[in-house]
Amino acid sequence: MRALCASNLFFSYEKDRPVLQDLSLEVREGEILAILGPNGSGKTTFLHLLLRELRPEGGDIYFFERPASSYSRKELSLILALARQEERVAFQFTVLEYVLMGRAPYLRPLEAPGKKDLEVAFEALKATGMESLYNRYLTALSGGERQLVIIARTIAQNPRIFLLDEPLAHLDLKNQKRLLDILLDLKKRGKTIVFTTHDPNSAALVADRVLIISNGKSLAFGEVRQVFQREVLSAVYGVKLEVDSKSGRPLIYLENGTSRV
Amino acid sequence: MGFLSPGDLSDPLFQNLTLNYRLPRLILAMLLGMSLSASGFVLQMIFQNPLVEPGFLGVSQGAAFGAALAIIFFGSSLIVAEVAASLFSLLGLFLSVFLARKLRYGGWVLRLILAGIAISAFFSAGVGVLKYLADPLKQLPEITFWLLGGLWGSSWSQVIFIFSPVLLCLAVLFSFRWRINLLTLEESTAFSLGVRVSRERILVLLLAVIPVAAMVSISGIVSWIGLIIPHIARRISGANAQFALPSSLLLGGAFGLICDTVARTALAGEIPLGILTSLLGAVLFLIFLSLPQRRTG
Repeated sequence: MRALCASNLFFSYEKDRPVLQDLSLEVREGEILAILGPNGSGKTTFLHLLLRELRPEGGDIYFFERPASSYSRKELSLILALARQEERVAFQFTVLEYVLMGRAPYLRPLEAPGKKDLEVAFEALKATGMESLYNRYLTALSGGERQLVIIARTIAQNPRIFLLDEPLAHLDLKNQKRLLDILLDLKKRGKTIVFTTHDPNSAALVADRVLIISNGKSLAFGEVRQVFQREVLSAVYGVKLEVDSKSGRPLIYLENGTSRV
Repeated sequence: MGFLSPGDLSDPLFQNLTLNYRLPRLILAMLLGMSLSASGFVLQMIFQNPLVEPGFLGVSQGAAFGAALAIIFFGSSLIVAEVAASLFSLLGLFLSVFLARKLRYGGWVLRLILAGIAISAFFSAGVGVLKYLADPLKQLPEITFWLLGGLWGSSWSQVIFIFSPVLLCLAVLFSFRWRINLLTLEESTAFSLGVRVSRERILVLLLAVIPVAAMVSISGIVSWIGLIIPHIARRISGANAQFALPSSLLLGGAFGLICDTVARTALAGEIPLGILTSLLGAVLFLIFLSLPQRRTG
């Protein structure tokens, strides 16, 4: 089943300055989609359109073969979770209190999280390796730990589709590996993941499909092997690139071969 | 007086003092402290800004303007001044929210705060004009005294006047309290968690401001409680509104009671409550800010 299908999306914040133009894609349930593109290309806007925080000016979005507009806010919060790129937290919540907020869609308006929610939140913290920090203030964590706690909150929300905006941005190599493992683990559990990144190599490691956008237009969309071709990537990034596919997953180098992209 | 020293309940004077003057004043002092601190707590959370207090959003200045207007044009009837004060404080809130929607600068929170500042300034200019127009011998002292804030002349009719709106709003806020946490998150995060952000913010805002509007109509402007008590409550109970809002209510009630008792008994004459809360509040605030911060919960 297609978890997500978007066709011919158009969006602009101001008239005559389109942010997204004619964007189409589809992702099957249990697949990982990586969205690549330079800063300001419309990646984040696209995620917010999927969340239905923004409404497209043209085009349609379907979740699980049902029009997105037919879902209520509550229903959407049960199938979609968002991890923003920057999450400002004004008060000193502990990690556990913050992750518990992911349980909101399952609670009635006057209800506070209960024992079951606490268990789910702890499981989510374990899945991200952050359980030992449960009693720390979110504001006292490092950028990487914070990012993983935010991911834990989305896991506690237990959606069918994860929307992750630059989840790798603040992570060192060890935590990048950890995050990519989390994504593969979620995929194993049948979850669909849409994430944005600047790093084609991380995308190549986990993604099933890749979308490359620039200036709001789709430059390439398809399976990793189709998109990660030397000609395609060199054209997209405007530098000559080499793609090494010998090891199974493509690996992308600058042409002189000395540095990884 | 009779409140502190043991008295004889069969003494009609004592009975009259305790039941008809002290008791309603006691209740009002607690409700005042509870309303201001709960409201300050909630506003700080939904504006994601620990420096906000209920005086923002034109509520206090609106009340002051309403009271001054009533004192000048409708004589010194207490009830008229109270009704005018609560109506104008709500008007202050509505104008602030309305203006915030019209502004084209910054996000929702910033717009609301800016609109609140503008509306407050507008009303305080109005109070200035009214003071200028007021009869300097009779009306001006009355306005000034009202602006300083206090609970003298408390009566059961005042308790009845504010009891149900205040308790009702506080009770709803109390039962809604875990969800208020969600309103402190980034808007799109709260949205993704199924929160209808604007709608819930406005609802919580109204629930927080109505008790204050009702209370300031009786007490006049009492500042600092709404700013300092939520800070102390958070320090004791953590940021989670599930625990910090009850603390805020308890501490606020106690602080209101203590301040009013001191106001009533410290000197031969009554000290205006607003002066005391500012003084005690500012001292507490400075002490509190110079204590070391906890790093972990």
